[in-house]
Amino acid sequence: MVRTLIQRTYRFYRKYMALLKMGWAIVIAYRSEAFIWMIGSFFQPLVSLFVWMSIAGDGTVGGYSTADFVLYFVGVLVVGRMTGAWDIWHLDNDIRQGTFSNKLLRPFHPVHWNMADNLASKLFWLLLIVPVWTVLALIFPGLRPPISPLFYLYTFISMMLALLIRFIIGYQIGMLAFWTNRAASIYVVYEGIHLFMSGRIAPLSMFPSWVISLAEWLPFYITVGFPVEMLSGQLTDPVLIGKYFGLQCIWLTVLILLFRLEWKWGIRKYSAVGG
Amino acid sequence: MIKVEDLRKYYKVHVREAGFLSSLKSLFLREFRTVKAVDGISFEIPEGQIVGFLGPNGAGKTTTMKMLTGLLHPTSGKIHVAGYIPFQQKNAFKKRISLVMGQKSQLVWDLPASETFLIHKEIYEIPDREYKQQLDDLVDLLDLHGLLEKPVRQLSLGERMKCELAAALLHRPDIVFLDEPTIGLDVNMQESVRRFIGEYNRYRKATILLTSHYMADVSALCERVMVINRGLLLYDGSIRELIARYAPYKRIQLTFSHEPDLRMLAQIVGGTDRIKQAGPLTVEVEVERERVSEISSNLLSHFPLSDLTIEEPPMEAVISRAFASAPDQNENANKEGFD
Repeated sequence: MVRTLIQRTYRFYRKYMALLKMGWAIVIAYRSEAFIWMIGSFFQPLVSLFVWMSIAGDGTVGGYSTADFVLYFVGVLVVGRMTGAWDIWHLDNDIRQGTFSNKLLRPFHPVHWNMADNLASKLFWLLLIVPVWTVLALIFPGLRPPISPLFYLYTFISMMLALLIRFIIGYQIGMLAFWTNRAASIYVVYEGIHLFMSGRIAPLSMFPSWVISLAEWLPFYITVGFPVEMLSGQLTDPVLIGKYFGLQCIWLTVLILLFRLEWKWGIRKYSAVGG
Repeated sequence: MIKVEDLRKYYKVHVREAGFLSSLKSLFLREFRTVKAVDGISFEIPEGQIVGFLGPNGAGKTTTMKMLTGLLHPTSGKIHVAGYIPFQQKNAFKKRISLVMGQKSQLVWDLPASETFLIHKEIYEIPDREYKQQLDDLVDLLDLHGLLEKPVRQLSLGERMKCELAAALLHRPDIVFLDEPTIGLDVNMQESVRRFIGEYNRYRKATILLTSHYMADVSALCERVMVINRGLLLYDGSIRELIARYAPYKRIQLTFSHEPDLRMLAQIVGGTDRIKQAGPLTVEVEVERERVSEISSNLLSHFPLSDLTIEEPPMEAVISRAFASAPDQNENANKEGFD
């Protein structure tokens, strides 16, 4: 019983490693494209940063000084990229073109292919940004997060949970392609809402209170704002931190359950109309 | 190995007309039409047999294949493949089958094929030694030397197809579905893919169902053929019998050393309508199968011939004759399908 469990876990691990290696090989094969995408993702946080810097001037806005904004939006830049999901474009395409069938015929859930791709490109990003930030932080004191090593660990863990949450939501919206050919446009709308509610365009504390509570309880703030505010030293209250970690775990569980349900229905639909 | 009973697959298709007004109309009034892609077919395929699945585009071949592999859920009817019910999509079932679609690639486009192979090794849980053995065999049989290290997008169509086949067969499936495996390939490449399929069938004792537009594929590989059209099975039996039934004639090609007396020729073969003049000195005649040897010896003794060849009519002609003679019962059924 235990042995077969270990064996199965080991086999699962080997499959994942093989997929990760492949994902990594694709990232490397397209490293210049990956790099350009990356530069592209800098713009929104930087533009937001400059807007808020000019509004804050020498004073503060909503408790944030210019220096706070710098740290916050550099955090958004890192965490936003680290947790972002774009698998929907592949999935939507796969389902509509019927290439999804190939993955369905193999004895391993297709979601793992996308997950492995996703993780590989995140690894690429992490290997680039950590050294760059380290060097910049050595030169500019303003880029040194005022936090203890433990908070780096918290940030990392919450970032990984956020990555999973955003990945599953993206994949779920992608699966809507089983029913409609508008899955991609639905995702664009979702991303627009996410931009505001997750704290990417401004720290969430700038918004009216009802928006804040909505963003806190739904899976928005916990996917970007939460890790960023821990990294930038804005969020230190252990009770709140515990609450948001709890919310991340609850949402992840709920999303996984919903994912299974949607998958079951989706496959039924797919096998009724054909790919 | 494969057992199919009264299999049906109906699709409901939303009828959309072109134009703005009718697209507005379709917002309120949706018209549906039932398409009977597969309309009650039954057959059995024993272990180790290669069966050719023939039919024009849209006959229901691919739909049947998709139901056999579990991608599609049948509207009604029973399917058993290797003791499994395909649409339950069990992993143990997936490890025993393979589907190769000539028009859809399963290789990772941007990477060498060897990368996809390694993924398959893990996903299908192929032990190291078995993997090495199988890979060596496939490289030899398909002549893949030097192809596996190139990114797939740089391969030619034929080279890619050979890699597709290798990827699909790494886990040694004993049931293989090939949907147009030679489509778009040149004659040499078709020939080598064909030889490989025969080889795999022999050494793995694999059951193979093959669709193709190229009759050469079918007549070279399959003793048994199933002909399907409009979702109905029109014929299931040996190729030889198919030909005997739908092609009672053979063709004799004659080349004369000087201009022949056509009247006498007509007398021997049994009518002027049997004769087709292909050139000043070459003529094609159609004769009944049973009379071929009698007529050719008559021709040889009466005419100065420089060449005489006897040919089977092309499979295409046989098949189209089979379709033409089929009852059109499905036509009406389709019309009643409006609702």
